[in-house]
Amino acid sequence: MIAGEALFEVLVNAAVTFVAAYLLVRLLTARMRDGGLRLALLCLPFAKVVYEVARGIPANAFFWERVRGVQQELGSFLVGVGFSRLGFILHISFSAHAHGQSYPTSVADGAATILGRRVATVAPTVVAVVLVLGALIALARLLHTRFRPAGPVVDWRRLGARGVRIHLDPRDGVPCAGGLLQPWICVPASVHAALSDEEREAVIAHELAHLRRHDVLLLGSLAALEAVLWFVPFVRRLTRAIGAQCELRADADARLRGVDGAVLASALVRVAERLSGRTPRVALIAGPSLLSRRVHELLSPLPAEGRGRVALRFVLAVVAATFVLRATTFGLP
Amino acid sequence: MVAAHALGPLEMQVLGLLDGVEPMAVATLRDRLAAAGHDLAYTTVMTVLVRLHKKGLVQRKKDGARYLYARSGRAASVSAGLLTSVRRALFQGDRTAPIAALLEDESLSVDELRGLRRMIDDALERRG
Repeated sequence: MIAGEALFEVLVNAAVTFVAAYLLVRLLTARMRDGGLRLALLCLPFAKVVYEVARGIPANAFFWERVRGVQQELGSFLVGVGFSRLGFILHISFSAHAHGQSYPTSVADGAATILGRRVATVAPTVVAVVLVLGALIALARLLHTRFRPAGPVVDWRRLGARGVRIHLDPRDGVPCAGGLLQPWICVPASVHAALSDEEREAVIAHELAHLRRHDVLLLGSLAALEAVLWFVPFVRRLTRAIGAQCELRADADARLRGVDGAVLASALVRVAERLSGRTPRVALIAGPSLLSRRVHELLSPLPAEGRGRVALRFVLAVVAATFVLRATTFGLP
Repeated sequence: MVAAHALGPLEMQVLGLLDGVEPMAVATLRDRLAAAGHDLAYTTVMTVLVRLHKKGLVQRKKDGARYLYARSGRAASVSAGLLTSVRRALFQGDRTAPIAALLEDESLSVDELRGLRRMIDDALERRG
């Protein structure tokens, strides 16, 4: 029973932490340039959740008193904004007071108390079990339906000390990259036939960029976290935003290695035209799609930035990261 | 007896389409699959039928230059156990989104694509 309550505490606090970190990160990166620093900041909510789950429930949390039967006599709410040596601090937390002592408490404590009183004593444990079962099923689905390359190996490229196999896949789809220990690139035969030689090379350069930047490891880990955090709002939205940054960075990387931006843009649109022609879709939401953003970036000159500006952006990103990671927002400090 | 879990979703679907009908050619089966939402290449459908033939679940007879395929008697003995049914229900879907794909699965209008194509063609023309 205590284990069930503890699991509920950790999972609900993880959800609250993620949502708060997501909102902070979106605010901080709203006007930030696309690139590595923005990508790093977007990953922070996941990092924060992993840290909090690994940390568990602090020894001084009111949770341990509550499960021993101690009743809260008074509650207080604290909002604090300040500075430390490491930058800004944001602190929004609850405290529970009992027997003259003050303990940090959280949204999960409040939710567990309400569920316990109004539904059943075992309700928090039941909810925790449902959340964990859902996560296991989602993970199993992810493993079961993971993409595997198919088709003959038609080419081979060097990536550092490793070789990358290029498969000509008989199935329909889009070009993609994968494999951690034995990296591969998969190009559907239909796409291979539709692209010119230059466009094909541009696509392969883009996929090599994903492998070079370890995007497969990053996006694969995020897919697993997304499955585990299936019940948390904004998770899917954030993983899509991170995926978009990975695509933009891979485009830029390919251009830095000599690919013509217009040729890569042409390849992207040609693949999109094939997909669109096969399953006609209507854009229901107004606003530029990721493809549109990528094409505009590819047709624009590569940005040239002075070292001073790069250093300043790095410092600001570090300050923002420290702020998000140290923020306490309705969870346990 | 071939257990149901030894058959993939596409193989099961092909067997279903061959159930209770006259023997049909690969091209006809491909059209039936396309009508059911599986737009597959001719060679893919042929490969599935060859695999099913090797497992003894379909039989074929020559009809001029082509083969006609029909379900064999053995296909009726393919059993679907409870666990297999649950697995299929939970983990249905053989169309997976790869991790680092060139394009995201997003809704794109024809107008948007045309606009992008025009922009790119202009840029390529200027490049010379």
